[in-house]
Amino acid sequence: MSGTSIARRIYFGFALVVALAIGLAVVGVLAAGQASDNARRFRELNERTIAMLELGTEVAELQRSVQLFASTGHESLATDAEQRIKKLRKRFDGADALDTNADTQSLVQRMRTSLSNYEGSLQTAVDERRIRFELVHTQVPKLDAEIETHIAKEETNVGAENRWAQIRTDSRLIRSNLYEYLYEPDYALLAQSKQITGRLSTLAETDEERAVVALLEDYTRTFTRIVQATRGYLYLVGVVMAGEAWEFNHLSGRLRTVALADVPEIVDGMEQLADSVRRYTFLGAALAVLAALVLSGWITRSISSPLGKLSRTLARLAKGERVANVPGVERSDEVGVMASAADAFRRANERTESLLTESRALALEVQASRRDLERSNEELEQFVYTVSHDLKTPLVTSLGFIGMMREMAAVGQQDLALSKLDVLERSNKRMTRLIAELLDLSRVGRLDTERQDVDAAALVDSVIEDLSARLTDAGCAVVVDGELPSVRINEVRFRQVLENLLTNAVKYGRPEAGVFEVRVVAREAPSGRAVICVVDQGPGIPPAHHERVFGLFNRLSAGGEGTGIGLAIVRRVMETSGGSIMVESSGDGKGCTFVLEFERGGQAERIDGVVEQSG
Amino acid sequence: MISGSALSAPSTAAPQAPTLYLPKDRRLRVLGTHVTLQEPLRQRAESDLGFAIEFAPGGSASVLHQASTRPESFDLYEQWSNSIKVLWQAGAITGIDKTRIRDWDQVNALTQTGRLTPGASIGRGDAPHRLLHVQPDGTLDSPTSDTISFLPYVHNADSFGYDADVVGEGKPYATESWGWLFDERYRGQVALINAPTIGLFDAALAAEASGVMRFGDIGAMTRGELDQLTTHLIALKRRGQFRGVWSSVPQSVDYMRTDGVAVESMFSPGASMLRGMGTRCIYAAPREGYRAWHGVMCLSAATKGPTAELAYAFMNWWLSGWPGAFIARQGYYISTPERSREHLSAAEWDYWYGGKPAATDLQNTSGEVAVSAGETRRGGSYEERFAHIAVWNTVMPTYEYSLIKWNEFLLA
Repeated sequence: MSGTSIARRIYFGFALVVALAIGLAVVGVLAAGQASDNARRFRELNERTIAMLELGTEVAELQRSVQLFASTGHESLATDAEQRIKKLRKRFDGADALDTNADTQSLVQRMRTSLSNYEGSLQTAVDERRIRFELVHTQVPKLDAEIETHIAKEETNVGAENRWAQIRTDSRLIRSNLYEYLYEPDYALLAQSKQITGRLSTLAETDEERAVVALLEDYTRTFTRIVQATRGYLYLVGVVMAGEAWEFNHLSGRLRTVALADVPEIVDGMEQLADSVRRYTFLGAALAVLAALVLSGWITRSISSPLGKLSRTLARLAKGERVANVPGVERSDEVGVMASAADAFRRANERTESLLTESRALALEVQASRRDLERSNEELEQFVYTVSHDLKTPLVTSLGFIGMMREMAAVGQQDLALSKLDVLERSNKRMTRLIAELLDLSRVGRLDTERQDVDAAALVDSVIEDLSARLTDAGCAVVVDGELPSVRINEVRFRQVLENLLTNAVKYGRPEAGVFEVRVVAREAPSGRAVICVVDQGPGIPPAHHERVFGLFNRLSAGGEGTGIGLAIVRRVMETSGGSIMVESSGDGKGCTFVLEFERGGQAERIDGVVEQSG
Repeated sequence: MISGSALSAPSTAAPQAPTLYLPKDRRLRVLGTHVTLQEPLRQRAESDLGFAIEFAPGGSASVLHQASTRPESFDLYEQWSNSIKVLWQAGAITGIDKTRIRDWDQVNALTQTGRLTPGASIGRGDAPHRLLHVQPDGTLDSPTSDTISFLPYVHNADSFGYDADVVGEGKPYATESWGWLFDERYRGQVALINAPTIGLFDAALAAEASGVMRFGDIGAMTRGELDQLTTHLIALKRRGQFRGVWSSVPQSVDYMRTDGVAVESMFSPGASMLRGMGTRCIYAAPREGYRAWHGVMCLSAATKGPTAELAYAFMNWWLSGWPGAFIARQGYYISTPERSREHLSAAEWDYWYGGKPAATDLQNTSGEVAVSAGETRRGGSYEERFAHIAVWNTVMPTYEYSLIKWNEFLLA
């Protein structure tokens, strides 16, 4: 994630939180939409249920009207029933619009069929009831009147009293049967009337009697039709229509059940919706808070923590502390850019410090050089003084002797003057040798500077051989003690060092009398460098003069043939060859030891830390 | 068979078939119920007889009313024997000349004596032989006469149907009982036929089976018995025992198929239809006996002359064999079974009439397998079933009162 820029991280964080907020808003909008749908469904359901309830009520009212009509035969009740049926049909049309559910439609269709059956039966029942009404209120009174008229007319007939009595009795029974039937329908009454009519038809003898019987037969047929009509509307109203009403009520109840069956679903849906909204809102809010916390923490940590580390590093850098590395340079974001800048600052610091170190070293070098220069100046002054002094001496001597010789020659003492030529010659020779050795000293470090591995033993032997005549003359024996090492030095210069030291030993390292020996020995050095010592048996050198003996023209004794340059050359050779020379001596007549320290030959030498194989 | 405007009876008829002089509008109107007014029968009859036949099927109650009040609206009326009294008493139908029924000698004993086998119970109520012959005084009774009130043809022993998945399968004549109609276990799952001349007997049989009451003569209930039965029915209704009352076979099928009815008054085709739809409807063989019915074909009092000739031709056609075989495949019996046997396979005859296991799969009239091989008709053979008749569908002397009481029950 350190590869993502801080700006992007902040945008990402905000985008996430905004997305969560939008999500919450969407949930809210959807929930509100769903709640609105549920409310609408609930309202529709309510309307449907009310419509269904009203249907049931209408049917009950209809059935009540029909029952009353069946009982009373009042036309207004029939009209009322017909109007109620029309209203019911309209309600069904409304029910169609209210609900498109297949179950509901099926039930409504069945109710419609039921209503249609009901209506058809009602019409027939009304017709039958009207027929009965007409018969009872028109036909029956008319027949009653006719029968009564006929019977009244024949009351005086002589000889037919018994038959007429029977006819009158049966007539009353037939008619009372009808009225009894109208009060309480029972087919047995009609059956009895039919039976009586049949019997009377066989009894009648006269035309008048047959006319009355015919009227009674007509009456019985009317009675039969009344029974038929009564049974008809009783059957239609009491059985067919009542059955349809039951079915209708049942279907209406099921319709209500179907309608109400949706209520728990809607209520559950609303409750679930509320629960869901509450849960999701809470969850969403919690997520948003959590995301905001996490993101802010993440962004803070990913920004402030590296910035803090960076600022502390910068503070340390500002203080000039050395810092190994700058945190965050590996990042590719803005912090990484700052860290890279700080790292550049750190590297600049390091370079400055390095330059300072170098500067200090250079200053020290300059200081050393200055001191060397001062020493050189001093040496040069000393040298100039010494050279001028030592060269002046033979020149003054020569000039003195030349003046003396001129004076002697002027006075004619040529011989005497000539005798002074020897002194003059020695002075010049000495001056020549001084100049030659000075030239030699000046060449050390400039000529013959190439170093090589030199077998010290062989070279010592060679030098001893070269000096053998002089050594023999001086009664000096050079003893090489032990195995001398191979050293790394310019062989010519080494030879010069050995010759100077051995010559010096012959001059100054001999005892007061007798033969003496000079030993050349090797010594172990803790540094591992090669050490060769030249040991004499002379009076030695007091420690106060140990350094002085290596100075130019410095001689511990005034006499002798030395120029005071030999040991100076030796030191210059050793120093320019990477070695050194020192003197060990107590100065109490026990001789002295010149200790030469070389780079060991035949071994790798270290140059700037890199191992090179010598030779 | 048709010659000009004349129509002779089918070739299987009696040797001397009368020549019929047909009216210009050769159309016979038959009013009745869906039980017998089936389109295949109409088509076959038209084909065999050569004149137009119009079927007007309807609900039992409405067609009975139409027949009893408007005889001019039909020529022949087909329903069951309990309608005879209503129609006869109403004068809506007229007697049938028995001598013009060609296969009268083939009509079996059930119609003429009330029993198929000696010792079989005749059953209470309007057994067909008690209504068949028109007596000199115009009443209907069993003594033989040349005039009959109806043509005896289709009949059956009815009971109730039950959903075996709900009720569990019972044992014929042993555990299956009319009492299930009043059983509280099936509260809200019971239906009755909406016809007092039928449904009342189902209710009465249930009342006796469940020990609620006893009837002096279940075929002729007194007003007191009707009061008591109605009171009990109303109490049951108020406890929610009944889903409702049905008025047609399709409605009874819908009740059990979709309306949750488990036990109900039923006609045989309803049970067959339900089984065809996958409902395990069993047409019970109740231990108390069946409620039998006898189909009646009645001649309208208004039908005269040439149309009456068509009516006689149609009646003779019905007894000639093929129609009886056709309705046998729907579980009905015909009064001339031997004529129909010629049109049934041995396996069909053995199953439908013999009460033997079906030797092969048997098809119904729609060509579907209605009976699987090995299946046995519930209740046994024709004879055995009609030996267990408890009551016949009946129009009781208390008919009007029963209508009022039934109405009370329906409105309660």
